[in-house]
Amino acid sequence: MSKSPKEILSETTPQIRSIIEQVLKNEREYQHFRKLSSTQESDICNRIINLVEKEVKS
Amino acid sequence: MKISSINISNFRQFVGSQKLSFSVDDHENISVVHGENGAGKTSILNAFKWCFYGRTDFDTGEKNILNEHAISTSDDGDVISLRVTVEFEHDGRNYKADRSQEYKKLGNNSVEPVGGNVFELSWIAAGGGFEKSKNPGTQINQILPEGMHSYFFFNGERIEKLAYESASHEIRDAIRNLMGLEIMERGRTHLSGRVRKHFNKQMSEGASGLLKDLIEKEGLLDEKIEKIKSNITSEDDNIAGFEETIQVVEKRLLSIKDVAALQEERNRLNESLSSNREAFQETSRKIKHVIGTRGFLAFLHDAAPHVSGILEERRQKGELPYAIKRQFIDDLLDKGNCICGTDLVEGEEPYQNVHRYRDKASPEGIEEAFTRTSGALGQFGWARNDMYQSLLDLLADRKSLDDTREELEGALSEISSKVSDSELEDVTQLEARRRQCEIDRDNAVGHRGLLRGRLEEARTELEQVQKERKEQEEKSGKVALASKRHTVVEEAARVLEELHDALAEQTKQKLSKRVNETFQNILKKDYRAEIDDDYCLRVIKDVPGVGPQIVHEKSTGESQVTSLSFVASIVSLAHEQSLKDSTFFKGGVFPIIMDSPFGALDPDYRTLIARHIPELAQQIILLVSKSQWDGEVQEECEKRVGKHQSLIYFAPKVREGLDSYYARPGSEYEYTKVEEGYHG
Repeated sequence: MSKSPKEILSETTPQIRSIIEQVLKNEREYQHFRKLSSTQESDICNRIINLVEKEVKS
Repeated sequence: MKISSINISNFRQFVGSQKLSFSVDDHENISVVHGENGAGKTSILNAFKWCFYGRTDFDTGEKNILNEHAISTSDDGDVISLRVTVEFEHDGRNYKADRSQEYKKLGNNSVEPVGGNVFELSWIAAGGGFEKSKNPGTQINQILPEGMHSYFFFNGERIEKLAYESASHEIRDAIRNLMGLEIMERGRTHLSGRVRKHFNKQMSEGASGLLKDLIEKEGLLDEKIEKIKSNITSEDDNIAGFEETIQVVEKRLLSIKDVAALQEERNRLNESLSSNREAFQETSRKIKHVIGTRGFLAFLHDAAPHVSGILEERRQKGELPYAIKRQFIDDLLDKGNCICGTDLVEGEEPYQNVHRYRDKASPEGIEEAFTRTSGALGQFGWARNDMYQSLLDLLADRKSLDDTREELEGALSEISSKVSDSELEDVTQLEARRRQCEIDRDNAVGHRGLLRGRLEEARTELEQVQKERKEQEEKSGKVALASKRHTVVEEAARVLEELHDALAEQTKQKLSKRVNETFQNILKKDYRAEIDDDYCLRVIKDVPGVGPQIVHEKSTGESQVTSLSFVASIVSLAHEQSLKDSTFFKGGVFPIIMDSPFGALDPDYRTLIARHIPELAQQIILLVSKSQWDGEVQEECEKRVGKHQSLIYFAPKVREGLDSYYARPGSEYEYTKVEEGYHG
């Protein structure tokens, strides 16, 4: 029996959960673009890099 | 979304401005647009798509969508305007979506677009005035994502195709779009792509020598893996496309009387071939298992008797198992007294004599090991023979399956030759196309296999490099933080992928349940429908004494009922989504717009489907010809129809016998006009 999305999230660490939630929030802002431009891609990736740096400090 | 009207101007057959209005009533929820072949039913479907997304499904794309009469009656240099406006209600707001494109008339009756098309989305604001969207393209996609569009606006052919095995990728896409899973895919791609690369670079900059090389190598392998994965996905799409074409062609061959019997035989042979391939793979797996778990016995032909001989020799000498245990000697030495009464003092001769026995004595467990080994060696011969017999049986089975495969392939090839030799040009062309698709599909399958092998190799190599890199990192503190972040990013990407798959599976199960509910509701037969593990829409029947069996050859009626059940399930899940606070696609109320349904159905199925059409969605728009509407469909749907409109087609000539109120010859040029009501 495969795991439910809830079970998967509960098995991961709060840090990973928080990163995933923020990544999805970022991606959602661009959800309605069929194809992302390189500027949009860069913007999303920089935001993810910043949030990872904020979450993992030492 | 409930559509109140569409205004079409100079689009395909529609000259000037032609408006169609639709019922938005909850009870009389069906609007019917009547029109004969060529009158513009499919153009209306495409006008919606062009208005919302700037694209159409015509073979020539958007190249020839400007009305020909509008071109021919303009002077060179004139500007001609093409426009589609759709008015709809969504989430309590009244919207107007408007797309227009201007063209300039050139010589030789040709045109060129003046700039790009312009899309505007506006709505009536609370104060009563019009408010205009600043990002209309994004907003219309928020209301109805382009990927979802085709499940609500579709043509008759598409309805049936959804039930083909080859449509599994469409079912997968529907789930992906319905749940907004592309966000997860993008998130994973960004994490494992650029973001990981960023921390990889940081690690590399802080490291030196061997570690730097390993980090760079890891980065290259990551890129290689992503590239192979993307190539595999492309091949998956290609294979699905080829298979879909093969199924479409085979369905057409089945409908041609002269070759229908041959096609039926081919379907039967293909089913046997598919079972044969599965059995062949299963037998190969069993052979591997026997070799992997018992293959070593083949090399023990001489070794087992040799070891038995040594043990027996030692036993006869009394060395194995040795009568005196080591613990017994240790106890005597500790007490300092032998069993004969002699004192045992360390350094003296009696002590040395007893100590020598210690080395010969058996350590703990050796006696048990001796007995076990002697017993096991006795079984070697039997186990070896049994292994050989199992292998021989399996190899014989595989050989027989291989022979059957050759026979089946031979028979299939013969059928293909017979079909190709047909005197009907259509048939030979269809068969040539089918053959070419088979070749292309087999090449793509082969290439995908090669790619999968490369992916496996690259992954193994990456694991090794990662292991070495982590060992090196432990020695260097400089890159620790970047490495930690890198690991977190990798883990987040992995969890996201797992989440994506779990959500897809959950949605599939939910959809499958609803498909079956609608299917049984419509069909009232002892059949059920489901979406299987491969995302295929299946019809299952219980065969007495055998159990549940898949119905491989669904009738057109069964296929349409299965597909319509699927579309209705999508509409209902989209509605359910709108009531939840979802992270992904917001869902909503959506209409179903069907172009030429019921075309190839017998009266029983037409009645069954028509009876359930009003319940499929909150708004239904049917684009039908007279033959598709009159009779059973009209009888079942009429009481729920809120609006009838007709497309009157004018042309210089109409094929003899086909002229009617709806198709009128004698016009100077070809065009379509919209009229209220239905004229029978």
